[in-house]
Amino acid sequence: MKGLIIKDLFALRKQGKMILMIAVFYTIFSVFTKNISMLGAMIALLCTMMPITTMSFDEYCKWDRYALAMPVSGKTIVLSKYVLGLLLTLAGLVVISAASIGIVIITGEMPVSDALFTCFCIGVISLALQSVLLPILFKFGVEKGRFLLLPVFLIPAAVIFLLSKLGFTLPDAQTLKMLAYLSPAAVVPLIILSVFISIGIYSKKEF
Amino acid sequence: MDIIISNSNEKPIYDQIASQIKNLIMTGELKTGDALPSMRLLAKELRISVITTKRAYEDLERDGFIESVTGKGSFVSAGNTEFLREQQLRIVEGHLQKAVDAAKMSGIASDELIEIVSMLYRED
Amino acid sequence: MENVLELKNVTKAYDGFMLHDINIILPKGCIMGFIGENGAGKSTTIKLILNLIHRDSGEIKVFGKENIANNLEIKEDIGVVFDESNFPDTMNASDVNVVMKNIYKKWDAPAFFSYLTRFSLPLKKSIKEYSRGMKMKLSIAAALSHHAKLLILDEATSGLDPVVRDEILDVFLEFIQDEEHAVFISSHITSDLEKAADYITLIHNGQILFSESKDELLDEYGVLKCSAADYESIDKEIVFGCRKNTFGVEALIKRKALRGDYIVDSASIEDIMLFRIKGEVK
Repeated sequence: MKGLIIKDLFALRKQGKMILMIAVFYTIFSVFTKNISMLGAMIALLCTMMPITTMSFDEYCKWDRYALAMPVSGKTIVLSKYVLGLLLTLAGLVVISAASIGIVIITGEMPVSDALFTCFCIGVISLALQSVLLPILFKFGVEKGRFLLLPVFLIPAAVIFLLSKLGFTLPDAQTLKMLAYLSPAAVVPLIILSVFISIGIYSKKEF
Repeated sequence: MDIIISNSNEKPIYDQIASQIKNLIMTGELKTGDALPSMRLLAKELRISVITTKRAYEDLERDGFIESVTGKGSFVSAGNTEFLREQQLRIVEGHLQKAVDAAKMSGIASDELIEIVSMLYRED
Repeated sequence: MENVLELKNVTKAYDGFMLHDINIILPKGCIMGFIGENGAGKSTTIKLILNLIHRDSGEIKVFGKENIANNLEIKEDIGVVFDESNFPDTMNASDVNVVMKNIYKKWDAPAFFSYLTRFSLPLKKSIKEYSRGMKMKLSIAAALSHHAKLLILDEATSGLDPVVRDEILDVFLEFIQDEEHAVFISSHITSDLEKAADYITLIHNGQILFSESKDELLDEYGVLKCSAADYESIDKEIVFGCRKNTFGVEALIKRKALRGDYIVDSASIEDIMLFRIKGEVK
C-alpha cells in the first residue's frame, strides 16, 4: 500500500503547489479576520477532493490494470484511497492548527474552542463525504460518477433548506456543538461500512 | 568462429548451422574438446529460435561430431575426424556417381561435367 | 516446472464476443509470439492470464501454480508491459523507482538504473515529456527490474520505430538466456516475431487457429503460385487459404503434401496469418 500512496502523492505533485498556495492564502486570510471557518471549509473541500483527483488520474492513465498486474490486490488499492484521504485530512488539521497559532501570535487571543470545533467539523465532514463519495466513484468511475457528486453535496443542503421552510429551526449552537463531539461515533462505522462496500464493488470490476 | 546463415537459401537454417560446424571440425578449426557456444547464446546472436539451434546441435550429436554434457555445454567429439571425413567422401562419391550416370545417359562428356562441378564450387 | 504458462479450455463470454476453448502451452526458456487481428482476443487472453478479468471456465497455471489462488505470489515473478505507459504523467523515472521499490519484494534498483542508462532515459524528466518510445522503454525497464521469470507484453511494440523495436528485441533475447525465463508477446508486427520467436500462436475470432513451433511453421507452409487452371487440379485438403487475382492464384499450402512441379515461395508468418484468416479455400 505504501507504494500506491507514494504514487498518488507523486501524481498530486503539480496540483500540490496550487493547493499549497490556496492554503497559505486562506491561512493568512483567516489570521487577519480572526475567523477560521473559511479556511476550515476550504480544507474540508480539498481533503475530500484529493483522493478523488487521484482516482481520476488513475482512470486517465489506466493505472488500475497495471497495478493489478503487480503483486497488489484490489483490496489494497481500495484501502489506499481511504488511507490517503485520512492522511490528507490529518494534514489539513495541521494547517488549521498553524492558523490558530498564527491568530494567537497576532492577536494574543486563544481561539482554542473555535479551533477545536473547526477541526472536528472538518475531520468529520470530510471523512463522511469520502465515505459516501468513494463507493460511488469505485462503482461508476470518475468520469461518470462526477455527475453523481453534485446530488451528494446538494441533497443535505436541500434537506436542511426544506426543513427550515417547514418550520423546523436548526438546533442552537450548544446542541450543534454536542452533536459534533458525538459525531465520530457515527462516522467511524460509516467509514468501515464504506470500505467494505467499496471492496465489494471493486472485486467485481473487470479491467 | 564464424557462422553465417542465409534466409534465402533453400536449406533449413538448422541444417546450415550443422553443416558449417561440421566443416569447422573437419578443417580442424574446431579441435577435439573445444567448447561450442551454448545453444541459447548462438540463438541470440544469430537472432533465431533456440529450437533451431537445439535441432542443429542434436543433429551434430547424432552424427557423432559433438557431445553434450548437461550443465556444462557441448564439446567437439573425440570421434575420429578422419573416419568421419571418409564417410562424407563416400556420400559425395555417391552423389557424383548419380551425376556421372545422368551425364553418360544424355551423352555429356566428362570435361563438360567437370566444368559444371567447378562452376558450382565457384557459386557457393 | 516445465511450462511457464498453461491455459486449458479457457472460455470467456462477453456481449457480442466470445473467447472459446483457449489452449496454450509456453515451455520455459522460450519466446511465444501471440498474433491475430485487432479484436481477435489477444488482450482478453492476456487479461485472463493476469486475472484482470474473470474467466467463465477453464484452467490457467503460471509457473505450475493456479493463477487465481496464487495471484499475489505469481505476480512477484511476472513483468508486464502494456501498450501505453501507466504511470501518472507528473512522475519521472526516479519516482518510478521509489514506487516500485515499495511494491515488489525483489525490486532491484541498481538493475533499473542500469537499464535507464542503457535506454538513455533521463532520471528527472517527467513522463509527460517522454516520447512514445521512451515511455515503452521505461515500462520495459521496470518489468525487467524485479527478477521476473515471465515477461508478458501486450502490443507493447506497436507504434515504435524499427530501431527501437530492434533494441527491445535484443533485450528479450538476453532475458531468455536464462532457461527458467519465458516471454509471451502479443503483437501484430509479425516481422519482429519472425526473427526470434520460438512458438507462434494465432488467435482469430476468439479461437486458437494454431500454436506451433515457428521453425516448423515456416518449414511446413509455402505460398503456391500458379494459374487458375492448375489450381483447380490441386487437392484442396492441403490448401489453407487462397487468393485469386486476375492473373493467377496464390494459395497457402503444406509443402510436403504438394505433388508436382510448381512455384512455391517460402511463407512468412504474416503470409500464414493473412491466408489463414482471410483467404477461404475456394
